[in-house]
Amino acid sequence: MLGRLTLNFFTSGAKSTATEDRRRLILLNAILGAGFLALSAASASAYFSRRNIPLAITDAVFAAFAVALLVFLRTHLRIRMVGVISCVLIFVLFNYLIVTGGDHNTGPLWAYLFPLFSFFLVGGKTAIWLNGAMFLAAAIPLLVPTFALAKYELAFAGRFLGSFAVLSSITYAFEYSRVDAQNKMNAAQKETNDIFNSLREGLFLVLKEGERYVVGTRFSPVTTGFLEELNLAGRDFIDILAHVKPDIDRHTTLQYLELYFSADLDETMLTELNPLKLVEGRLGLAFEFHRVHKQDFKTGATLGVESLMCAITDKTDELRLQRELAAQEHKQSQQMRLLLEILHANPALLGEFVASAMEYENEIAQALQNETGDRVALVNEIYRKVHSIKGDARALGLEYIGEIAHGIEDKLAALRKLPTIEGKDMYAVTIAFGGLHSHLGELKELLARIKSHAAISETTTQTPLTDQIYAVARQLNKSTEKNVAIDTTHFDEAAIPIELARRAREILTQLIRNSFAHGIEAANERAAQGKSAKGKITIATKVAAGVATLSYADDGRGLDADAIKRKAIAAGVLAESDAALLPQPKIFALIFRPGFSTTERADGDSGRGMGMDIVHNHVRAVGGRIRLATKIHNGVSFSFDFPLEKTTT
Amino acid sequence: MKLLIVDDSAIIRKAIESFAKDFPVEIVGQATNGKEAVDLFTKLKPDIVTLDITMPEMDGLEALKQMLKINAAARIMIVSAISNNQVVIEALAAGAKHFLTKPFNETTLKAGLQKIMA
Repeated sequence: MLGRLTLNFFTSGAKSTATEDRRRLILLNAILGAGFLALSAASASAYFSRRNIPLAITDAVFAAFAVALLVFLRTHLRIRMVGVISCVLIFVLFNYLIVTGGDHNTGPLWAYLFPLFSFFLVGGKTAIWLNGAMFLAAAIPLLVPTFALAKYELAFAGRFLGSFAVLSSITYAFEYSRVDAQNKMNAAQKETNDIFNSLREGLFLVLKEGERYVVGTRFSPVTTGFLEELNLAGRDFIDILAHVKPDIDRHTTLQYLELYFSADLDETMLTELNPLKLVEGRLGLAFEFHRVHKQDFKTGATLGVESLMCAITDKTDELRLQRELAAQEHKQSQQMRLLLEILHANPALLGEFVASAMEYENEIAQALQNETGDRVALVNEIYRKVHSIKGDARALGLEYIGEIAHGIEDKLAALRKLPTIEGKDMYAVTIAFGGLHSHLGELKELLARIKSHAAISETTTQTPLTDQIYAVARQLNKSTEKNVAIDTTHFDEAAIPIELARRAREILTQLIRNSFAHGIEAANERAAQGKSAKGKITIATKVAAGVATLSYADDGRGLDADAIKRKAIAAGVLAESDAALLPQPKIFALIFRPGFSTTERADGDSGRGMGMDIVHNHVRAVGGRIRLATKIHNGVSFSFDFPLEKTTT
Repeated sequence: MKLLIVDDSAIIRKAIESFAKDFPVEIVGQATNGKEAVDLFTKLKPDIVTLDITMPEMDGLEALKQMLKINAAARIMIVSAISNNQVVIEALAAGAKHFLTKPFNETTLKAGLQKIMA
């Protein structure tokens, strides 16, 4: 506190106070300081040269008051209080001078200073009251001789009081208009600040400093958040931009800003070229520039470009909406595709597909939820089901669903390559599966809508299995560009119990797909072997002694025992040392192992060796038996025996 | 005032030619690539040039620089698609006086011509 005593005499640490107070503080400092010196000098002069002891003592007392007030002011900064006390002291001093007459009756002259002191040091109503009091206090000794030690003429008293009244009125008017102007300016300034501070846009000036562009000293509060930088004033604008977006094109941005300072270039045109229209960093920010012209204050004419005003708008939400809209459009186009595919498919088969796919899907969802023990087995199981869904979807021409299922298969195939499958690895599958789930849901919904609009009768009875077989073959003939005929002369659908129908359909779908993919050769290869160009698949049924037999044969290239052995060794299913000794039936049995395939390529129609595994599972589930016969170049045939009394679905 | 039209598209040259008729300019020549443009610029000494940016032989930016080297007072308007804005900024920095967005219409072209003749 005492440290303030040593501060600059005329400012007295005034930097920390408001404008109006600072003015008073400086004035008080000066007056008290000068008053102390003047009063000390006056006291000395009164004592030494004129031996006016009462005046000398009075001056000395007031000098002491002045120095005490000065110290108090500088230590406590109580500006108004010191102002009022000073005025009261001056009031007393001046009255003393009027009453006593001072040196050579000049005492009253000092009173002319009172309006200045009171209005400048205290101001307002207090100053008016102080002036009124001064006027009355001066009038009494001037007009009534008994109250004064000095002698005053009436004419002098009248002129003195008149001029004092005029002086204090003028001082009041001056001070009043000054304070009024000051208040208006403060209000205007506050308004500007309020507007500036409540801006939602980043706003600041970009100044040109030599070859650099720097940010001005003032910026709207949101600017710091947008630019992720607290200290913006005087910083290089391009550096700050690079902070927001590291790969910003500095050269073009610099050139662009430079163009704004070429006053003859059209500003609208420059706005069009803005390379900072959308700067995508953490936020999406739009920068906009406007020229700030130098102005000749006398003529009001513009004199070239002084700086640029930069406004930043947050476009993050807009950008997000745009992206969402694009995603929505994408989804709609997918739905449209699905819809078109549905319209081309057999409606009755579609209903069945959706029902069975949903059933599979539920099973998979549950398996994923209760996932605990053997993850390899779980992955294999999911794989079989997804593969079935894919096959059926493709067979119906639902390429879109087929693609999604294929995507899930890809993920599962990747999992199967891992040495161990962790719980977290299953997440990706679960997520991908969610996609399939929602698309199947959409499909179901679309189907329901189509049915309600197009009066497609909802078939409660199942589509004949024969129709389904032909539908699959038709689809494959189209997609593989092969020419294969299906012979169902000896196929009697009634021979297959209703509860086995789904399994039979899937077994047949799988086998037909395998025949198209692996068994039946291309036309030229068939011709070279003396086969007819058209391939043939024969499907038949037989019921005897409580056993329903489903048989299937194609006239393709047959199974190649050596190829199967090589593949099994490569897949790690068979040890090389055992391979030579393995009898042929056991070699062929290898194709029913999970994950076995003789084609490396996985596409929509054949697979990654999951097909026969599915077949095997279906047969095993109902306690059936598989028989296989094949001869190289002479096709393959399967027989499935289902015990009729022991069927479960 | 003498005007030189530079664009590799005949349709655009035709459009500029027909819209420029309303202005007190004399079309002194038309060029279809940058090289031809610089040759004609040297020979015909036009005051105003409308200049395409993407052209065969020599692109507009290079042609602009050469023309301004020959006559720094020439008023050159770039005619280009906005997708090229980096090149357009480069051209304006090199001394082109205006830029007209492609595709333009009668109003924007006339406003552009007005701008470079001012």
